Amino acid sequence: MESQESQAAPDEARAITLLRLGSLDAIDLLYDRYAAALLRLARYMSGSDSDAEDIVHDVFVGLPKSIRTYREEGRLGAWLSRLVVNRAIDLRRASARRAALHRIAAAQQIAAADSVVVHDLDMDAAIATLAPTLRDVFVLRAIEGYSHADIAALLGIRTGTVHVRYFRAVRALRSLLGESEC
Amino acid sequence: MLNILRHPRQRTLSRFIAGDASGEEYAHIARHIARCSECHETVNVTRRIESRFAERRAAPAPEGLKRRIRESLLQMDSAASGEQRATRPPRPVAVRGWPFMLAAAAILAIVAILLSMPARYLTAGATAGDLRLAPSAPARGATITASYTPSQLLAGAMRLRLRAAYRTANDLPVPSSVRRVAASTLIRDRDGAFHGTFRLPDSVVYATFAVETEDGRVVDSNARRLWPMLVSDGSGVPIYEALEQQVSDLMFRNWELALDAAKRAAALYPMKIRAQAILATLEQSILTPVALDSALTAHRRHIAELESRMEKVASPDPEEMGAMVTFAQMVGDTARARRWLDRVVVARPTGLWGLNVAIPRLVPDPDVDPAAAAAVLDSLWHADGSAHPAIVIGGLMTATRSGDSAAARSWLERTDAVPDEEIDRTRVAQSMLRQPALHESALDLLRAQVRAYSHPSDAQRPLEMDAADALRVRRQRQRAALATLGEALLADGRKRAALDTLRLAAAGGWDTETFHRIGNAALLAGDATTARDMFARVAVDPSTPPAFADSARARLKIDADDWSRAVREATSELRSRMLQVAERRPLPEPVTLTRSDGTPVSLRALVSDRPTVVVFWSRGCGNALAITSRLVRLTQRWVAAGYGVILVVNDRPSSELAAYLEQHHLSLPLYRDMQHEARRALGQWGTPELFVLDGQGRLRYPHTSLELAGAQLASLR
Repeated sequence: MESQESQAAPDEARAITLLRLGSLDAIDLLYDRYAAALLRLARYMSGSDSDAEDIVHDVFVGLPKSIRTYREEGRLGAWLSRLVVNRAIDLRRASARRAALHRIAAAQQIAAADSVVVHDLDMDAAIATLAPTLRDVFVLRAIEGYSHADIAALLGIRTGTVHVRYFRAVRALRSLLGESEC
Repeated sequence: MLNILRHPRQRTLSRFIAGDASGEEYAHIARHIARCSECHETVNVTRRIESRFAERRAAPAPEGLKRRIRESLLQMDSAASGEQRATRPPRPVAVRGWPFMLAAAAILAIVAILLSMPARYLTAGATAGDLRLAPSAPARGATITASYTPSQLLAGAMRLRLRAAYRTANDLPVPSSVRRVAASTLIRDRDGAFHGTFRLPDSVVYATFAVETEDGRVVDSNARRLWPMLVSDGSGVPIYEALEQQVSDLMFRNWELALDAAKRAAALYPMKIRAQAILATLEQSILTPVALDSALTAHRRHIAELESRMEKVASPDPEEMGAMVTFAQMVGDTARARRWLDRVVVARPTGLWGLNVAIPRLVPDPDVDPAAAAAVLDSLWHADGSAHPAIVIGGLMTATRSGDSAAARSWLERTDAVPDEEIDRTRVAQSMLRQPALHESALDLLRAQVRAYSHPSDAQRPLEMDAADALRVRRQRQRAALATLGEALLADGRKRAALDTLRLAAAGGWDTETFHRIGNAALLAGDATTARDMFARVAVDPSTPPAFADSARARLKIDADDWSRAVREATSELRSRMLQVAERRPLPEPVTLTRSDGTPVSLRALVSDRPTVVVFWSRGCGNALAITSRLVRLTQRWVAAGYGVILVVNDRPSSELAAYLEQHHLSLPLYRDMQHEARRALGQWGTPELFVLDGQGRLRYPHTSLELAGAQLASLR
């Protein structure tokens, strides 16, 4: 996302300006550039395709308002990711039982893994079996590339906790993904 | 002084892997790792997992979501500007939120449900008779005379039943409120033909017919085409509403013909905006990019003319205004869409087209106000006066999302009015289970559903389906409901009840996905025997990835002999259950297909002694496109397991088709059915359609589904 941002800075600056002026034309540009990565993040955070779409939808629909709080640090992608994470966490709080059911479904999906060579689908399912606290940390670190300190700030937890959760997430994923145990 | 022999703490090792460790700490851990194989492996595995995930690319974001976002913003934008203009903004219904999106999502959900319904029908081209209806283009309420020359299957009967599916002008583009009735009894005359008369209800504008025995066991559905009838204006030209309902009907059965019907409606009624909106919507879904560009150019020219005409009308019909909004959105003309949206809202529509676009205009705030959203859906329900599943599902979803159990119960009562075939209550319950407040309601719904499926109900059976097939579908749905109920009970910690329910779900039929769910749930509940038997059933289906067996064995922790025994029993169970419903219908010889290079080849030669599935697929059919990925994945597995796959694609060869196939890794050889010999022999009509043949080239499982074809192939080995 970083390299995308550096190449796209002028367009992006224009898009932000347009948004602040109330024009909706910039949405397409931002969607084309960031929606795929944001959807992926939302999917991991929520564990559901439909919820992920809802999350990204809400983030984009809220952009005309929320863009006012954005400070140009050249990291629009990271800022959008943060909105997605916050929205996903909000939604998750609304339903604990759903998460439990989802983990059962994900475990089923894992069991149907195509082969020992694990495919994308299985990796998704593996992540979905993680407890939300571990999943958030793992996704933000291993997939989104946040530093441990950034994750701590984003999730409102201590850096040490991030390290521990990350370590536990990796350990849980090892057996699911066919990585050998020590 | 740090002890080099002591394992570092988790957070320390994590800092090391992340590169966050300080110099001294880093050196210390590096020294430890050099000596400690356990930590060395931990670091390596962590890095491998990291790199596996880091290499992954995000899938492209769907255009549909972009459209949805744009529409939401458009609604908010126009709502905001409306509020600025008016001191007291008109709010016929004080709502906020997302009911329209719910309604749209509900319609999509129904589409998905219908697409995922297994399609098994007994009729085929060789078994179709000839039904003549006079007059063929009747006026509303006309008396119709039916004459039927029977197929061989029905020739022995003395009386037959003429069944009809009636559509009125107000029916939604889902097969929801279609009334299925026994229109007439046909009596055999001395020549062996059957005759009867009936009166078309005044409200009916479009109907389809099938002929069957009085017990519904044998159906002539005209090889699934059915016999259509469009009400005309007296001069033989179909009225517009008849054409619109024909499109709605065909959208669920044959997309190419639906597009043809939409083109006909747009050509016969060029100034009818609804016709243009429907055509543009269908084109968006199935045309190739080049063809779509060309169509859009024509639409953009036409829309200006339509608008100028409508501007001259003092009080335009809100339905037409609603259609104008949709049409403008479909051709990407957002300014025009916004302009007409404002007018639709002021007109206070009550019809489907107007409400469809007006509701989101009335709900500018994305924050959920469940009571208000429910009020809108309530008004839709009362305004429409019929049991449209889209409205019911929208209501249920609203209640579900807000956790309003009283509202959910009220909507659940309304689902009683929707026929089983039109709404998948198990899916509704699955959705409700996500909300703690609705948990018990969901369980009640599932229990009621299981009970309901136990009682035969023939009234709403689709015309194409015979009674036995309808019963099989009901039983399959009952099993799915039982499996969902079992999982929910397990999630509640009610193990014994869960296991009893799950075992019941596994008792009949063959449904690999359900077996899989049961196996997983049984394993979680500690019932290793049921889990083993279920996993073995999953493993013997060639649609299952080959590595499943190893992974299942590892999870079950059983030895090879025990697993082999379970697999043998599962194989025997598969054959026994599948062959109960198999046919044995020889095909006429020869049935000739054409290879991509133009050379002919006989179907029999392609079967080449292997159980073979014949797949009819088309680039121009939304239903076919929707299954492409699964089709590719499953056919690869079937071929690898030694079964034959014949892919029949009648689209004209083009670079666009080739690019699509390549993009989706659909690399099977393509065959064309130039003379429609395969179509006639198998009774194929729409796409996608699958037929399973045995090694001798006989049709054993006609009109089957992707979900069942693997097990059916295996039953013939």
